[in-house]
Amino acid sequence: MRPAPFELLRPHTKQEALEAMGRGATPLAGGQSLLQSMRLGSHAPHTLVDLAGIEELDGKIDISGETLNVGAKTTHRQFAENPLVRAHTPWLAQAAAKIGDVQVRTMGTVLGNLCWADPRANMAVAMLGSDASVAVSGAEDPAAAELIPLSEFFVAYQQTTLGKRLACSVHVPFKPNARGVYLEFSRQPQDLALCNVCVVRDDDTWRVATGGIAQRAMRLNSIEQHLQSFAALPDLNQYLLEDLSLTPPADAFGDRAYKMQLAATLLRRAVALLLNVETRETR
Amino acid sequence: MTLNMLPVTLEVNGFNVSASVEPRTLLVDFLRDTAGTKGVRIACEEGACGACSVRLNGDVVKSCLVLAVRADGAKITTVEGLGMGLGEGRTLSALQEAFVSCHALQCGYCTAGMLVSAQNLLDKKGPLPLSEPLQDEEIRQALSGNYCRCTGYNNIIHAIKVAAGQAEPLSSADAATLQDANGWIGKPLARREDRRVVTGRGRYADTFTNSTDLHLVAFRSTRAHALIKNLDTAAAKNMPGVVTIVTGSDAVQHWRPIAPSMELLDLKLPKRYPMAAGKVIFYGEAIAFVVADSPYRAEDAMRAIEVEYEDLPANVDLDQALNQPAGSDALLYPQWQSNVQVDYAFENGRPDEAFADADLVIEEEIVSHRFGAMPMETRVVRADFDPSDERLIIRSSTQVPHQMRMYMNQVFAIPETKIQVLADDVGGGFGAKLSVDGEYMPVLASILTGRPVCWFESRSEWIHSGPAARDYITKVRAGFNRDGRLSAMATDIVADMGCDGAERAAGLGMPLNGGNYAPGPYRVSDYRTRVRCVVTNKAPYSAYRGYGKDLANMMIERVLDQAADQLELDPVLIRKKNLLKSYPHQICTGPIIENGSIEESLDRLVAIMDIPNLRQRQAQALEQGKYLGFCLVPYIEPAGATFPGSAFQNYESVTMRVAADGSIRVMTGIQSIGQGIETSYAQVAADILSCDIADVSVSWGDTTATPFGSGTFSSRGAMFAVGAMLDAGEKLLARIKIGAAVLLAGKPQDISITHGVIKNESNGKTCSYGELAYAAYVQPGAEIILNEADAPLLEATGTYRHPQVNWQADDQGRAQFYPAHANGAEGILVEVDPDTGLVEVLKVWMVADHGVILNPLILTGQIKGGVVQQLGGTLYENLAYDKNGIPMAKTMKDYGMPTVWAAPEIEIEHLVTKSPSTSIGAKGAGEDGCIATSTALMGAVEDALRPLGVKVMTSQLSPAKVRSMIESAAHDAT
Repeated sequence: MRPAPFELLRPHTKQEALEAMGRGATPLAGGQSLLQSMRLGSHAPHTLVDLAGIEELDGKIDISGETLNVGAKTTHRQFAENPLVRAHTPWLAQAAAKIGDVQVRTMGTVLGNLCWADPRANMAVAMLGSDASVAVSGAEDPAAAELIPLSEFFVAYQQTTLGKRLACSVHVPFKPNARGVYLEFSRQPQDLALCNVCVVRDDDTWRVATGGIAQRAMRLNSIEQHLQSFAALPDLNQYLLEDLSLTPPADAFGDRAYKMQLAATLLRRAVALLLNVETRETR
Repeated sequence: MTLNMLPVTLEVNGFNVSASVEPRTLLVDFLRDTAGTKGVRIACEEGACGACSVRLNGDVVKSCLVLAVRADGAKITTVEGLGMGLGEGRTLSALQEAFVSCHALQCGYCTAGMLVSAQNLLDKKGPLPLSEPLQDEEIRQALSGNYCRCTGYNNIIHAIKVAAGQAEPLSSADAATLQDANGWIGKPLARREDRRVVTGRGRYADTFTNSTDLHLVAFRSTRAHALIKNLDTAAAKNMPGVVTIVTGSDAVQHWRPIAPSMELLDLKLPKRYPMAAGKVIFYGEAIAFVVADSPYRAEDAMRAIEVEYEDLPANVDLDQALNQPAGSDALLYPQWQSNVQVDYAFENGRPDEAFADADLVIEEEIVSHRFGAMPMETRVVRADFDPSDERLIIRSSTQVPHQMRMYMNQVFAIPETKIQVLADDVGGGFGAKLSVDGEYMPVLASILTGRPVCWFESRSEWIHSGPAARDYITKVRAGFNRDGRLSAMATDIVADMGCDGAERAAGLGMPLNGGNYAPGPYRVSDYRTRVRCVVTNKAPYSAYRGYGKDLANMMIERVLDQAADQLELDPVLIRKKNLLKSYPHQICTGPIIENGSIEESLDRLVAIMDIPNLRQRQAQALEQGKYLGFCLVPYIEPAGATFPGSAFQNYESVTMRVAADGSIRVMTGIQSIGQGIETSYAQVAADILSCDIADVSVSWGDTTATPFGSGTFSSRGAMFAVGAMLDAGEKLLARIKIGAAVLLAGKPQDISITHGVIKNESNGKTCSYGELAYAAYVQPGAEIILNEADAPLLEATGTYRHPQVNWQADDQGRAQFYPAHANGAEGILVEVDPDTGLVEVLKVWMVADHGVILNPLILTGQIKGGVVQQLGGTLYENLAYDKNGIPMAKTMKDYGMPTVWAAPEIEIEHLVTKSPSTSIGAKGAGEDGCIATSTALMGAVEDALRPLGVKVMTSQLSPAKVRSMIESAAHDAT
């Protein structure tokens, strides 16, 4: 279907955009998920706010200290090809490069992917595993920015704590010795992943994020602790199945147990890669 | 809501286009409807297919996921802007040339987007030829957002390498470079269709929409089985732009039930109307249609229609549907008193005694899941009814224009003489466009409004209400003696017809074929089959490439593998022990395999696969924890189906005409759907008439301009159209020789024709086709030139009736409905990841014998495309329903269309056993990739997972399914 009718606002300032969002308008970034969803009839916003004309938002990628800063307008392609990203957080570049296809990566934005909050979205899982935070502005003071860690950002399927605020940039801390692995499993490469994981290790800190086994992208703190304490990993499959906070969807592509099996497999492979253990590559 | 219109100005292919549009207007619609660049195609609605890809300020985007207003001020390049445009001397770009010379397109519907993505890749890599060769990986990356349903992608990848300057073309678009004394048949001539397609000028049905046309959108059921208690269209009728809304109940007075595509055996017909009235029988069934001045406004009104249902029990499970008793409110058609559309049984010999005598009886249940054709172009109709003289012109994406004309007559009672069905380029059919049901809606809308009405089916409509296929549960028994001789066989097939497999869709023959061809090329005469076609609350069941020969192959070959295992015989050896030993060979169910090379194909396959090397690779891989497996499967490919009680007839006619300028037109009822008839038939005609191939043109897809023909199905053109051309050519050549004898002062028997030069061998005088034609048409005219001929014109219609068809049943009820049997053998090597269940196809080998090859470029393209199609069906595609009968796939991505990543290396070797049926000797071709691929994949996965004890008896090899097989095997072992 074509989109149902909507009003399109094309503000030049964050303030205008935030005011419109206060009245229930939906922000439009790259549109690759939102327009698709409108075409499939899952969303029918009465008003869209086009963020493209807002001059305070940019598509810059830069470094301040040990933080990678990514502007709201940065597309997946710009992000994946950016030398700073590739140098400091190559796993993030790889995660971005596996999103959809060239066409989608050209239009879609990193921030948009985070705000869409699909539990299997590449950037959601990869950024969560990288301990990133989103800078958001609210209508009370559009110039100010509050940092929300992604661990407090994703709430449920397509739900975040963003509310009627605007995500303006994402900030990724990195240690010089950090190493990370992003792995996903899909039926064909570049399909939306059935399951994905991002594991990042610096010094002896491990961060583990997964997608596809809950209603949101999830950090698996208990597995992180196992890894930090160098304790042997449990039988991951069984371990995940017993974690009742995990609620993988049973769908046409597999039941709950299969999704757990995928997550366990990807986790095992990601950890092995970071421990330099020979393992089977997964696309 | 009042909406402001917003101004948009784009530079499209170098020219400005301005208009004011609604904010919601998609770039793709702006480009097609306002800028007029209709080469930008629409094949989905979810940004999956990539057919609408264009470049926006130099970067490739999907124009269906971009609002036109957001592109304001941008430079857009569409396929029309790649070479050939208005500059650069109207030549093709290097990439377009390469697509043509590498047969990188078949139906061509995806090609516009594919070219844009490929050009984007080349431009980003630097000027041509590229300094560094492109890697396969990069090319696949660049194309992963573009689906192709026909080619299997390999030729597209190759074409891009050719454009980059790192590979050789597979052929030449320049016919002159291929010309020699041996004629055109067998030459890899690049296709003539391609030039218009690669420039975005393909003439698909959606190209012919005018700005004043009306647009139809269907309102469809969201229940599988329910009574319609209330349908409220009042609010919708008052919405802006709405011309009319017609419900299924309203429509009953205007049309008759759907014209059946099959009425054979004692099958039952639902007698349903094209729209549901009173009761819906599947999710997606049309209940009403909206006609409005734009598709946007038609959809707005469609969303405002309200309906109340009272649910009935949904038949989703096949067993449950089969056993619904008479009187149950779960029956789809209570008047049938069951859900069984047909129950067919056949027995030959004494299977019970043979089973009792067998040393080993294998008994398996084999499940083949539901998937289907999914051509890139959905169903598209532009219906134009002129009330002044009751003339109806239908442009359609059909693969059977004459059949469609007949069905339209039956449903609307408009004389066939007043109906013209036009189908120019069609974006893929694969059997699914034999069906006619939704197409009746725009026709009715045009009759009621007196205006042209377009229906451009959306992809979700195709997925939910379009034709599906496969979906069988079968019990196979096979008896063997100790040394592997197959002595008895029995098959019991239950097939899920969805709501119907005969009336609106011609799928019912598939399971019947499965039962009849299950013995395959093997010598077994004690055989029994039972085939039950059962209706369920799902979308209709239609013909799909393979047409049950896939099922036949799966049943016998899977069982042979089990027997080989149990008898500890080599799988090739057990087959050779049982293969037919001489031709013609009558299968015990009736079909006669006229000739072929079945055993030779298998031998060649064994040779080119290098089995010892593969076994070694497999063992080494296993040591590293990798699971490799392979399987070899012989197959037969029955072609040219004819069925009593259907429009699938055993004849086809062709008219050949020499025009006054000497050019030659071939007119056929076979429909071009991407299989290359415009080229291959020109090759045949040029050889028959010994004329210059450049002078031959082929016409199709117009029921008023071509002789009646059953149309395109069952790979029949290479026999039926070619046979008819031979017949027409014979008549025409007699007249040509008589005319030439007058013109060149000789006798007809002295006349020879070579490369378009007509010569009197007795005096050396020559003329061209043009000179002869002018003499016959104008000066001095036919009364002199063709005075001695049987008719004074240079035009003849030939008809071909296949001699190997025989509908007169013998005393056991056996007949021959399929006249020809191509054959071959297929091998597949896979690697399975046991942790995830993912199957990766490493290589496919095909040895194929289709008789004399008309055009090897086209033939290999057909084989590769079929292989990848069935591979997609086996590994990814699925038309599953939940327990309430709600389809689980919404989009092409959910459905699992194979992308460029799915295309393995495919090695093809041809054998040639000339068909006895025509002097040219071609058999049907094009379906073999869909016949043995599932079977070979199942065998290969089983072989790979043999160490884990896995047996594969389902065609669905999705990762989750394979993983569950591994888990059950582990569970069984403990």
